[in-house]
Amino acid sequence: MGGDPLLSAPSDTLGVGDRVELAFPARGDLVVLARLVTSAISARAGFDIEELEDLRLAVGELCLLALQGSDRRHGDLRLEFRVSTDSIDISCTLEGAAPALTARTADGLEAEQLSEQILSALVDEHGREQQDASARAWLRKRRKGPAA
Amino acid sequence: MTQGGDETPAPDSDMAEHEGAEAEPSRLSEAEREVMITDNLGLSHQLARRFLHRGEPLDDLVQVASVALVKSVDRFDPGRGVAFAAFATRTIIGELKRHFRDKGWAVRASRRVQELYLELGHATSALVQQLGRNPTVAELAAATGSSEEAVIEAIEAGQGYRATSIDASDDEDHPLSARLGSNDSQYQAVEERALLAPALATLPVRERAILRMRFMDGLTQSEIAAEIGVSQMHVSRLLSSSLEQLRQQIRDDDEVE
Amino acid sequence: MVEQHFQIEERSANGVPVILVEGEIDVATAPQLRECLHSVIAQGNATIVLDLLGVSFLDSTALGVMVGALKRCRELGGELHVVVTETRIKKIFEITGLDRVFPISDSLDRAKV
Repeated sequence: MGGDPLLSAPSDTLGVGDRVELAFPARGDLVVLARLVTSAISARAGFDIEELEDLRLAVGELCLLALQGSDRRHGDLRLEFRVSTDSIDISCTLEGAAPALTARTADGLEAEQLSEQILSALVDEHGREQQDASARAWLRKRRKGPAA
Repeated sequence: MTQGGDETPAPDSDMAEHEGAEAEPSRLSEAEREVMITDNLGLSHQLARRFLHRGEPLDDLVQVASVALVKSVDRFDPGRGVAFAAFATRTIIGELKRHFRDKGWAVRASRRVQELYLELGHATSALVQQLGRNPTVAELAAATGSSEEAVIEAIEAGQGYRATSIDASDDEDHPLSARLGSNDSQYQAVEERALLAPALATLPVRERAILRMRFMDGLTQSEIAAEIGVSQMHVSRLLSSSLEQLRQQIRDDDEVE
Repeated sequence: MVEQHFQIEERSANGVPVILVEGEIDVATAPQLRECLHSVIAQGNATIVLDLLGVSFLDSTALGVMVGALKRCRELGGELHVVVTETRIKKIFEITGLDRVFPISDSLDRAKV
């Protein structure tokens, strides 16, 4: 794209290669922020409203998976959004949290399985990594139609 | 607290008159007042629970409801022909609503977002038809004449597109309380019954009989027509006007300031 | 901190407790639903109707709470009925297979309680 980047880029598309980051305290009541930002970014990346709803739910599940096994009282959740020609990549990393003191409840294990099921159904690829004090969950969703 | 057919419920202006008449001594004995309070603590508690999860602790809500109950007993005039349960319900709900208003709580999304919600459902269906696929936020924004932010805000506020239209227009299947207009009232909450009965008493005997046959005995309009010897059209008209009258009555009753 | 649309009401129909939920049931609000279900069951109710007609969002924590309550109800010889019509919300039950676990209907009348 030639000319002044601020003027020539249409305001309703997120350019290929653009990266957005969001970080907030690792608390359940703030996960809604992740959904909000995901909606805004997905809309600008050209996904339709059904895909928007899929991504909102999926990113919430990413946050929950990243929060698993932590005490949920410390640390931050850091989300990264990357838009490419054919997909959107979102990752959620939990940083600086202490491991959970109590064993996961039956409800908790159940919820974790459900998170995995939901992600499998709504996005094309997803995964998890655990390293010491940080946990990361990520997803990739491909565009349906022609690339923006 | 029985609702006979002979009672004439007080019009709503009586509420205002009651306010001014507080200097008048209560016509109930101390013992009667105590019984009324204890008898209706359950009702006040239940009404308080209806406002749960707007962020207020249950204890605070129960306190507001209990104080309102005592006020109701203080103000109640049995001579006026209004059933106490209905009177207390109105007072308690009024106090609970005021509790939230005074706190300046924004309980619902802004009006603009609510109006947008109404449009989004229609706009989505129209666009799906037109485009043969789901619309994007940009397309919805253009279709509703709003900004993308507003559309996203509406989606986030939980008022996004609705793929199914829940316009159940089948009158024959809905119970009375649903036909009165509340979206989710297929239920007979104590407070609804308390409001409904005195409103019913404002209707002439025949209209009340028709409502009973329709909604309690489950007769169809034709069966009712045969029963009372009029045309089915006439029954239909009577039902509509009776329900409208009830709606009016309950709406007036329900607005407490 | 961030205002979320969420409300619970308890009512009853023909003696069966009906829990109506409105808004978003997610990690932030699901605990309140769990508390509500827990207390209704503790009051001696094994059969409950969960009315999700007004629900706009459901995540895995919400489902986890509902499954937990379902199990308790069944242990007590009862059932947890779900009423829902919103396609999006039903989809979440379907992708987790829970549409075959919960008795789901689209209205209270049809819940066959």
